[in-house]
This record gives sequence, C-alpha cells and structure tokens, in this order.
Amino acid sequence: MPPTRLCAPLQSNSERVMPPPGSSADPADWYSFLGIGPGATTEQITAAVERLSRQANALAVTAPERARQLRDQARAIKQDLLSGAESRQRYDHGLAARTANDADTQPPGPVLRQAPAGYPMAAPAGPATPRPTASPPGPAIQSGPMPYGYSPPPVVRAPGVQAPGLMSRISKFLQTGWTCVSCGYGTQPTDKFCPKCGNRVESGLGGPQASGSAAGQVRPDAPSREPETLRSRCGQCGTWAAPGDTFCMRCGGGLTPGKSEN
Amino acid sequence: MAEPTALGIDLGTTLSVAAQVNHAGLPVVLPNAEGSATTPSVVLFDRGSIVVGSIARESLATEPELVVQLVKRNMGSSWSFDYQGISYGAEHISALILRKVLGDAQLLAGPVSQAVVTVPAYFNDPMRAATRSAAELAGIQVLGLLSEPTAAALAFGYERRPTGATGVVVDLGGGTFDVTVMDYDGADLAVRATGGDYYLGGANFDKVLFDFFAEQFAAAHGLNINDPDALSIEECTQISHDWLLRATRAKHDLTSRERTTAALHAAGLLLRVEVRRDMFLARSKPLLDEVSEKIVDVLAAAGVTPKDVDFVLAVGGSTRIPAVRERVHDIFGKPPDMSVSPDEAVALGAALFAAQRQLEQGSALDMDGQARDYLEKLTVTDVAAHTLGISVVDPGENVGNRRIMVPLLPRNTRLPFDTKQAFYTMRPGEQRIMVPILEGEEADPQLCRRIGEVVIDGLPPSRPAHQEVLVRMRLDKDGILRVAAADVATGLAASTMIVHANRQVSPDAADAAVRAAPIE
Repeated sequence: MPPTRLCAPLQSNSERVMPPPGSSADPADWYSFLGIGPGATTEQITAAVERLSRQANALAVTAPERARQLRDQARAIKQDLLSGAESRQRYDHGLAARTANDADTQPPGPVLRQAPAGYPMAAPAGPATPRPTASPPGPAIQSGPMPYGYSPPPVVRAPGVQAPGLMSRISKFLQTGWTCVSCGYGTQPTDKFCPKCGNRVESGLGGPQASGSAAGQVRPDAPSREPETLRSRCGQCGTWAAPGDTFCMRCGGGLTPGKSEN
Repeated sequence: MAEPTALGIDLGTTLSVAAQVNHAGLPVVLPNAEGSATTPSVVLFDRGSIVVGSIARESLATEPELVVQLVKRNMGSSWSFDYQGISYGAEHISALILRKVLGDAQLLAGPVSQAVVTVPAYFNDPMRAATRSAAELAGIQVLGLLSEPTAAALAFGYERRPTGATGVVVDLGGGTFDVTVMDYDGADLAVRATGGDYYLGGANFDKVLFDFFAEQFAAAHGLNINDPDALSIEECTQISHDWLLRATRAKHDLTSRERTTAALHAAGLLLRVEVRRDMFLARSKPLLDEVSEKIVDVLAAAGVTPKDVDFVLAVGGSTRIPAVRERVHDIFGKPPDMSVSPDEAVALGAALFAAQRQLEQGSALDMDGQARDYLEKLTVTDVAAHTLGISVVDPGENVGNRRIMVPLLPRNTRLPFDTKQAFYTMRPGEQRIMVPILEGEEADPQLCRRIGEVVIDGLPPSRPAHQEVLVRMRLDKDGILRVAAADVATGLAASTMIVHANRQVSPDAADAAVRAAPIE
C-alpha cells in the first residue's frame, strides 16, 4: 500500500471532555464506569480507581484535557465510594433512586443532586452533576486543583530552640558566614573547630533566650535608628556590631564603644 | 588500598547513563546489563516486579497505564503514580531508575555506591531536593549534584583543555533545556550565566508529530482518537502511546532523511502518513523560537555576544535535530561542536567531577598521574540558577501591607556568595519575627517558591517599631543555602540551613517499596 497523500482540509483536534448522557462512558454510575459491580469491595474499587488515575497519567502528554477529566473523575469517585461507609451508602442510595427514576420516566434526563460541602466540583465529576443536554461538547473544563501544581516539599530544617552553644554559632555565622577565620574553609554550624586547619571556629558569644507568639513583619528601608543597648560601632564604616565583636563584620575595621540611647 | 572511583550518573528525562573514571584517568561510560550505553528512564510496574529500561519503554504500546516515563518533569511536584495501594512520587520513580543504573554499573565497577548525580542547571530547589532524595533512596551516597551543562563542559574541557576561552553549552535533552556560558582557563571552569526551561525538550518535538498524526487520521477517517465516544479510555491510551512511539521514531528518521513514513492503526483503521522534514520544521517553529530566545537571553545575562564565544557545545539527544543545529549555527555563526557524544557527555563530566570530589576528600584512587594532577587542580565555579530573597512588606506609599520579594542573591551570581542586608520591623511590641525565604524571579512573593523561613522568637514585649533586623544569606558551591537573621537591638538570632539532602517527609510505604522491589 503506497503512502497516503492527504489533501482534505485538516480537522481541529479538539478534545471532548464530557461524554454525552447515556453513552458507554457515562459517569452517572461510577460502578459501571469503573467496570465493576455495585457490590464491589473497597479493595476492588481502590484498584479500579488506581487504574483510572494511571490512565490519566498515561494520557497526560497526548491528551492533557482528557487526562485532567479522568483525574477529576478519580477524585470524585474516591469522595463518593472510598471516603467511608456512610459516604458510599449515601451514594448507593442516590444511585438506586436514580435508577428507579430512570425506569419510571423515559427518556431519562439529568438528575440534580445537592453537592456536599467540599465536593470536588469539576463539572464532569459527579454522577448526577447537571450537564448540558446539547450534544456538541463544551470546551475543556479547567476547574479544580491543578493536578501538576507545585507544592514544594518542605526542605527546610525547622529553626530549633536556640541552645547557648547554637546561639554563639549563629552569631558566628552572622560575623563570618561559618567560615574559618584562619584558613577560610567553609565550616558547618555544628563545628567547633575547623575541619581543615583545626582552628577554633565556635565563638563564645550568646544571646538572651525567650519565647513569643505574635508574628512580626519586617520592611526593607524604614527609618533606621540606633539600637537601645550599649553597642560597639565600627570606626571606619559606622556599622553597629554584635555584643562582643572585636572587628566590624562589614569592613573588618576595629570597633569603638557606642553609646546607650536609654 | 585504592578505593573504587565514584560514578557519574546522568539521570535524564528519557535516558540515563552511568560513567566512571578508569585507571588511565579517562571517563568511560559503563554499559547497562543489556549492553547499551544508555538506559531509558522508563519504569514498568509488572505485578510483583519493576522493569526499568528498554523493555519498559516497549511496553508503552501494550500496557501504557502500567508504565511511567518523563517523570523528571514532575520532580519536586505533587505528582504521583498509584499502584497496588502505594502512591509513588516522582522521586520514588526516579529512585527505581537510579537503582537499575547503579546496579548495572556495579556489575562492571564493583561495589561502588558513591556518585555525583546531574540535574538540569535550571532546576529549582524543590526539584534538586527531590533528585537528591531519589538518589539516597536508591542507595547512592551522593557526593554532589552537578548541573548538566557544567558536566558536559567539564567532559569537553578535560579532552580539549582550552585556555582563555569562552564556551556555550546548549543542552537540549529529552525533556529539559539548558544554556550555559562558561569560561575555560586550564583546569578552572567558571559558569558565567545559565538559563533554560525544564519543560522544553525532545518530548515536545514528539508531541508536534503526534498532533500531526492525529490531525491526519481525523481528516482521513473522521476519527478523533481523543473523542471519548469514539474510543474507550483503554483504546485511547494504547493508541496514543503507540503513535507517540512512532512519532519518536519518525523524529529520529528525520535527523538523517528528508522524509519518512509512519503507519498508524486505530479502531481497525489504517493510515500511512508521509512525514516531511520541512513540515516538521514548520510545525516546530514555536519550539525552535523558544530555544533561540533562551540562548540569546543567557548570552545577554553573561554579557557576551555571539562573536565572543569561541565554541558551542551541543549536548542532549535533541540537538541531533537538524533544525536545532541550524538555529545554533545561525545565532553563533559557527556550527555546534558535537565531538563529545550528546547522550554521554553529561555522565562523563559527572564521573570526572565525582573523581575530583573523592580526591578533594583525600580518597586514595588508583589513577594515572597526569589525570590525577589535572583533577586535583580542577575547580568548577557555578552560579545560582534562580534568584533568592526574602518576603517583606512593600515600603512604598499607599500600598498597605502588600508584600514584595526582595532579592538578596540574584540569579547568575557566582558561587559561593555571601550577602547581608538590614531590614526593619513595622510595629511596636512585636515578639516574633518571621523571614520567609523565597526563590524566583518575580516581585510578587505569591509567584515565587517559598523554600524556607527563619523565625526569631522571644523578643521582649516592649520593643518599639522600626527595629533593625540583619539578614544574612550565604549560598555555597554545593548549593547549600544558609540564612540567618538577627535582631540587632537584642542580639537574638535564628538561622536555617537549606540542604537539598534534608528530606522532611517521613519515610512511607513507597520508600520501603522502592528499596525492596526487585528490579529487572
């Protein structure tokens, strides 16, 4: 067979995200949607939902909108069928009522349901979520949390209670950036001696200990004023220094005693 | 007794490679158990076992929902893959890939567990943290993370030993794109500027051809494969991946041919589609424009013009696309140097860096004397890929309590870098000061990533407003960020250290599964 030469005008590759009511993929009945029976065990439902979310993953590159729809559906199913016995019972009752209703009234129409608080409201997700009866499919549904949204993992070591030794090392960091003053080697905050040259890197500086709760805010260039306590300041550049500093942390100059404002 | 030389591992979006410096001092790629230099970064969950590599990739066409690929694009995100009641994150999948790569490497290299793992230069902090976690989960003793373009530049520099030269590394891999400008001076390599896009790579070019296939099939047969009425989810998934594999194959064909043909099957229908290179080029133009823009941006950030650049190194499999090479040629007025294998350069450079790290730590390596001398003298200076700063209240008039990101460590700052800046409290009586640490290029903190915080607690209740708070930020050459804040008036201080190694989430079922799963 020779390669096909295509001359027809190209058709838009728009994706439909909602199956029309009554189609084989109609999610009004999660059980049939997942290909399991209404009496399925939690394990069977879990396995089927897992498969659905894996299919969503598999379609993420080639059909992102459909993948998003599948993820929304998986979330809705988890909410209805896997978030506790009561939730599933409520869903089963609703499903049974709808089925009975459908049998009484033909043709079946969409059934409205009050969405419980916190229900994921991506449009195709709920079994009885109102949906358009017109057949042309709507645009991609964007509601709901972004499945690939970043939620950076906590990578920060929580600031611990400052033991006197740690306080001194923090002060040291503020002065030297935990760099050994003798050889310039970058040391760790827990180091007492430089691992390269053996010079003592822990200073004897400390600070008061206390606890508080009110969250404060800082602003970058509010009017500066001198600190209240008796401090030293650099004779060369005027920078205020931490208690016990001998040399200026900004320019390295010798420090002169400051005056108290109080 | 001499220690085994540590590995360099390129954990790629589509392919992973392991390399090691041999006794002659040459970095060499360690073939995997199947004899291939590269291992596809694809994982198949096959009931009781895990299959990584080419078999897993082939399974995309038959069992797509059991296969994970391109996971590197999800590093540091909340993405997950659910299988048998266990939710695997991106770092878990990456750990499985690394276990396979490490296990295969050990078949040739012996019981070595130390390695340098590479990351895209443009990876942000959560992404780097996830990569490090993955390596540790895989049982690797991480000697460091190294930027991929820097690794490639190292491999090139080791072979050519340029002096007083400026080079540009264009790294277009399977899923990510990096551009780095470097200065070479003997054994000193210094990055001037770097930039990129962690969502631009070969997979984007595959998708261009996949979309073309879908359009052609719909035009010929009236079947939209993404239509839920036309195909079930299973059919859609399977056909999509079959076509995606054919798209990748067609893309490879077009690197050496002007045209190729793909046979597409769906719903009992067949279509043979001719794919021409000029059509591929035209449809790829937006991607190529992005590549060009990024290159020009990074050149500007480095303060160099194309004329200042002595050579351009092209690495990453996607630089084999002729249109990419042409773009690079057009920008620099010279063809890219492809003398180091685009697929292997990063791993080779990582292996050199790993050996250098071992020598730096005093390890006794059995290695050629000249190579040892070079590696002992080797210095690699990197830059911060993203701006680091803190969130504070905007000091502007009539802006209320709007917060802004104040950069303390701008991107492309050469490392190590140490800075401090004074800030001031707003209100009297504040007993607790919180300094959120941000990463990103936007002035709005909401658009930046919050990577940590420093909290000064226990301030006296009677403090007036406008108290000076000194914030110090230091980023060392290994990417370890230290931030300290001190209330100047009281001397109270607090600090945090953000190390990519610190994984704060508690070990879970996926961790255990990753460690225990048999890997094929």
